[in-house]
Amino acid sequence: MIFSFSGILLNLKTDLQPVTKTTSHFSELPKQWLDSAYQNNQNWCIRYVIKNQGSEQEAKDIFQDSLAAAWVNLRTGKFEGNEENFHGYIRQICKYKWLNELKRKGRFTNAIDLERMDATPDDNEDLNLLLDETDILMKSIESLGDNCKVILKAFYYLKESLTEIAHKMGTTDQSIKTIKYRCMNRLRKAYIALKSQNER
Amino acid sequence: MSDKSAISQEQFEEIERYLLGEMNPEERVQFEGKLGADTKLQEELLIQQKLQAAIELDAWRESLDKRAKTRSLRPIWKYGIAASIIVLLGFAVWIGFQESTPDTSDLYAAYFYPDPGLPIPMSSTDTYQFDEGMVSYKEEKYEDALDLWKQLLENTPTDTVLYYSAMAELNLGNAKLAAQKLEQLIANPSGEFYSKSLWYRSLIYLHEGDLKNAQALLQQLPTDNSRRNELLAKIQEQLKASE
Repeated sequence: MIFSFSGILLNLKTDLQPVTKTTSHFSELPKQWLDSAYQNNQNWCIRYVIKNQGSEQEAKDIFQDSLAAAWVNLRTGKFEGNEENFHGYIRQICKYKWLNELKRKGRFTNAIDLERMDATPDDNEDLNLLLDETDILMKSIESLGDNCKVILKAFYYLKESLTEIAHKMGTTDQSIKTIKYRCMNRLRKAYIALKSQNER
Repeated sequence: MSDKSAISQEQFEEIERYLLGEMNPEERVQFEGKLGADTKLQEELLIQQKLQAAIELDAWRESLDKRAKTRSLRPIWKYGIAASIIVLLGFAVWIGFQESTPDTSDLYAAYFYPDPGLPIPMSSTDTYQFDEGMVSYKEEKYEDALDLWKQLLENTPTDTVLYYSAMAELNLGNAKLAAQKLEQLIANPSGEFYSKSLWYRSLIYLHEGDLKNAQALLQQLPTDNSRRNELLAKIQEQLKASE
């Protein structure tokens, strides 16, 4: 049986895209968008994986990785579309990643429910790169100390101002600005090091 | 992949302002023009977008875990013991300075070495603001260090932050401000920075040409310190010569 992967990357842009109106609201409200993506797709992905020989834990991991990969492409402007398109994109990645996982573990058999499958497990270099990239990014975060995480989370995720963060931490705006820059530099350094290691 | 050196604060902030939509239309057009012609800038922008996405994901996962109550709150470790070790190490570095070649015409210049600062722990929660100041101190950005420590001095002063603020002032050439801080430390003979404070305060007296006060402070230091003994002998020589 031949599967195509045409559905997955329809909305994927390969050029570097500046922030656009379409994606700016994702960046303004990351929590709401991630919550919505989680609530609307987690059960679907878990059911899909369990139905195709996976355990519940494997399914949860696959979903988390799929959501993360989709989010990275959304935030870098490589994926553009509305919320519904985004949910479809997560589900496609979930399918693709699970099939690859089965193949890697030697558990890929004809018994798998592939009725609605439109992906070949190993034919999409872009998606493989995206999944690797996401893995590296999440590992880079582990290199940060707790105080960096607190400041970066407050600024980029909770959208708090430098003044609000400075007030909570009992310091000045200028100090938080300097610390934030240093934390981002540390994160960047960890990311570049892990990426170079991966490319070897 | 772009070069591995750190991104400058100026470039980082420019990219961040663009990504956060904080540029006015004119700046935005100008930046996008620059972006179109500069592949390194494009790469850097992409890196910053990815890093921000990763921060958002990590923060969201953490909040999800908390909401689901599947993960207990991480304890906030205290770093008291580590801090004590660091202070001791710093003191050891100070004690371990190479013997200098004394210049009797300018004892201050011959004996003054900037305190090298403390090692920075990788992940300290309680002392993060002090640690960030220490990063600046070690980069010889003494004004930044003082700015970071200013609030600590006002709200939660410790001997450590007082001492290194004094050192930052001294390294900036603000001897009087440094002296005021060191005198507060000297007022507490059981403090961990007492000896070092005596040493640097006596050097400031030398800088001011006050040999007698410099001598008086050095005499309070332990006699097994060879640098103290050497400097004291030179001061006494000069005092004798001037009598």
